[in-house]
Amino acid sequence: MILFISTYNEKVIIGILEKDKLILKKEVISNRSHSLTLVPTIDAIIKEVNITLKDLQEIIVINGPGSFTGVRLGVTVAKTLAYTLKINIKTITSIEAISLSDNSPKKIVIVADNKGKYLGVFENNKLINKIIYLSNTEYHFFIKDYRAYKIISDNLDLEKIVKYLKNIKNINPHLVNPIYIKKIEALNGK
Amino acid sequence: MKDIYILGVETSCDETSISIVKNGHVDVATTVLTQMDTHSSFGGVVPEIASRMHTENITLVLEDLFNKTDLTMNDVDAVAVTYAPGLLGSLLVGLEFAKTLSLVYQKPLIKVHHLAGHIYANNLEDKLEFPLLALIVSGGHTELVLMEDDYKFNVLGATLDDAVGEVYDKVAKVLDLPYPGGPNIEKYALDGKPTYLLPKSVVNDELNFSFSGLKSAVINLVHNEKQKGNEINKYNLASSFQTTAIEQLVRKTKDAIIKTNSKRLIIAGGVSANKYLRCEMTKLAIETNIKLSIPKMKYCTDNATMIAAAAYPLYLKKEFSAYDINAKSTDKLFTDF
Repeated sequence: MILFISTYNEKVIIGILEKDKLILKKEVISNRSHSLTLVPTIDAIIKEVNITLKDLQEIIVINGPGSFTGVRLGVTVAKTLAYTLKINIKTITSIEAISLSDNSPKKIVIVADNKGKYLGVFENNKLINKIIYLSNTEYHFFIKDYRAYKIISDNLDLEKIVKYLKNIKNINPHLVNPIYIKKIEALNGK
Repeated sequence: MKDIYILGVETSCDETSISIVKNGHVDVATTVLTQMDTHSSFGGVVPEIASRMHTENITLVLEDLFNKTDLTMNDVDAVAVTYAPGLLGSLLVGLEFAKTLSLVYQKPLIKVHHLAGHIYANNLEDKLEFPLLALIVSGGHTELVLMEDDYKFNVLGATLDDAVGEVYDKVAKVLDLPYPGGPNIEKYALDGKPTYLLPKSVVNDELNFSFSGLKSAVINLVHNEKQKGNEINKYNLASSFQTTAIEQLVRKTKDAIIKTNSKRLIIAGGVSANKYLRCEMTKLAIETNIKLSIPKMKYCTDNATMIAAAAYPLYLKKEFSAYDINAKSTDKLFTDF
């Protein structure tokens, strides 16, 4: 059994998969804080599919970019589960995870926050260059050069994510950490 | 009775700490990882960096803790965690970590107020006996509290303006002392003499405190001397400030001892690490023949040992929390007036 955790935006998405087959997915919109819904949703889904945490063999967590706090909580819970249950853990970025839900040869995946967008440009399902963050104004100019690209966001296909990660190596849970992309304001100039 | 082991988690500021405490008063094992070096280059704690480091280190701190003891999670009876007050992003990492441990090992979850932790740090020295008088001194608190029983707080007096720890930090800033300000005032004071005349707080029979007058006096003195082109002796001014601030704490505590006829005094909060305060309070205890406890230095700064200790009375009362509890940057353990 595989436990999937996504907390990079306003939604908490928890999935249980058997190999690459989705058994159950729960999606909760957190109005205030993921802290109110994250562990309760994991507790609920485990009970609903009638297993225990001991039946899990693997954790998959989206490690960002997105909401700093959201990603941090998802990653903290995921690495703690993997470490204490002594099971495998794999990470995938929000941008790559969303890209798997669409097969267009040319696409741009975006994850928006209130000031701008995290973005990845894909050609033939490959991320060209790396994930970047643009302010809304920068994005406005940037996107003019990418008219031929399909813009996709916020759609996750859990089965495709599991298949995609099949040959990706496990990570030591201690070393699983969020990726933030955006710089901390206090670090500007340092 | 069976021994009760509580695992505590504390991440409210820039220390990642996990501890196991037996029966509320025996420190079985504790790990504290401080981020002080990282934040000192910014002149203060950067909240986002603190949160990031908690997530990076939390499972490593857990591993380190269990390397220090033969106990396993199966021996633990409950998981306790600081839920408030503190830096929200930092608190949340510890809270979600504690919820996950509670879920995996099916142990009850206990939420603990950070200030209760500082108070119950005294239980690690000498078991608390009620009623007792508590002097709470930190960056956010200056209170005299009469405790009739566990978690029963009767506030006798509180600061009318700034907290004593806050004033230490502000005076450190005016004197251009490096971060962390408060502890550096103490260091400078050690090499100085109280040569500057600073105003004592107004003497009255109330048990309330006031530090804003003292703070303004130091600020004005520094400005005036600078305008006159005179050099400030930082060591002597630190000593003058500290002597005046602590004199007020001692005087009001003495008034409270007499007023309540207390037999037991505890000191709690970050400022209890101040050695001059510890010394003056020890003298007061001898003078008034009261039994005094002050936490060991390592329990005065933030640590999970005190959180596990503070959770013990809550465990006995079965005050357990569900997984939908949230962290709070501010929350009162008791109301002042």
